[in-house]
Amino acid sequence: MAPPGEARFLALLNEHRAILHKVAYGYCRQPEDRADLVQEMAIELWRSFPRFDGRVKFSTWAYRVAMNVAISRFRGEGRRIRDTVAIDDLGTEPGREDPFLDGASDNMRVLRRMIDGLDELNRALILLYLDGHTSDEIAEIVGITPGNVTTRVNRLRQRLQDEFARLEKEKP
Amino acid sequence: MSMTLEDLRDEWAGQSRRLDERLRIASGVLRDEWIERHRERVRRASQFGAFNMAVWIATLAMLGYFMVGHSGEPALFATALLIDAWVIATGVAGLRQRFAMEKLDYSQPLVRLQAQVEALRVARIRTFNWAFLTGQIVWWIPFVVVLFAALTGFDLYSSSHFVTFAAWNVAAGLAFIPLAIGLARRYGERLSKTTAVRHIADSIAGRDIAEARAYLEKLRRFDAESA
Repeated sequence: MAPPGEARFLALLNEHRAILHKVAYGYCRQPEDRADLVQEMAIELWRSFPRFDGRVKFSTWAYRVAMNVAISRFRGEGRRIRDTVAIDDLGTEPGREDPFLDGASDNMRVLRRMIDGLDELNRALILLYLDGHTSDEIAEIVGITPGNVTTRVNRLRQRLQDEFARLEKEKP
Repeated sequence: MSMTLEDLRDEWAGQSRRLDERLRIASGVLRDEWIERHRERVRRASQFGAFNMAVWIATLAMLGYFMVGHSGEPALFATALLIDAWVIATGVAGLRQRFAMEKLDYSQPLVRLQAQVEALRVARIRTFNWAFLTGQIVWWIPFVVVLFAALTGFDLYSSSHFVTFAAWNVAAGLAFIPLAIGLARRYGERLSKTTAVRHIADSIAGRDIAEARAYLEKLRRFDAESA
């Protein structure tokens, strides 16, 4: 039987584990890398759990830890990938073998492409926004002001609309 | 096509619900796997840490033993003392960085934690540069002495010209520092991107630090900019 701390952690983790998968989806193109990243996040959550004092919601806390792990790995991997292969040579078609995109519309695939083109911090913003968080909640997780969040989300909204407009023009 | 981010937010919520359902079905897999992986990671990290610490302590002990045995021979004693100081300094710097990495609180807001991670990276690169560039001075003379003794049987330490030899080598070692930085800046980028030499060149040329500083600046702007 698991000790009480571990049992509580596992219960919370089970309840919020989708957070890990959604963050991993935002930062990893390859499904097998994504599974590794989810494990890394779970391990870091467990390592950090003694510091969790309940002052913020567990989901907010879990988002911070998961995104910090993902960004650290993304930057480390980014350096390694930039050193070895061009991003277009990775041979991964966005959406292929992607459980999160099963049954999703083409619009979601356009969104996926846009997310792939963003830097690590803007990815965090858009993932949190898509997940239904308010500007205040996003600000708390990212560590910037709510006004800054609103401005940046508006820029991302405009960028997405430009992308759809471009695709519309390219239609035969 | 007039899709907006808000429309996609609704579709994203639907995808999230499906993901939740799928994860509920797979319940238990994550738990078993993560506990096993966590144990494995802790075990490997502690083994690696213990091995490094043991090597470090053994090196210090051997150097100490050597210095006690050769306290009456200034050339040998001074060389060992220099190496000892270098080993202590690099070991302490490594330990400090390791503790700082372990103390990082990943539940901090993203901008703050990422700035701390990058500051640690700058410190790590600086330590590597310092250890690499001073190491070639500290280790060069003993290396040449041993090589000479192995190839010719001649003991350079007993030579009446040893002080001159050592002074010239230390001067050459000091001159090598700006030369190495200059060469790395000029030719480092022409090296294959994946070689260890390229990584050393990027580090001592300051390119890695410049990249880390640019990222720190980006984090600062991300935090400050709202217009």
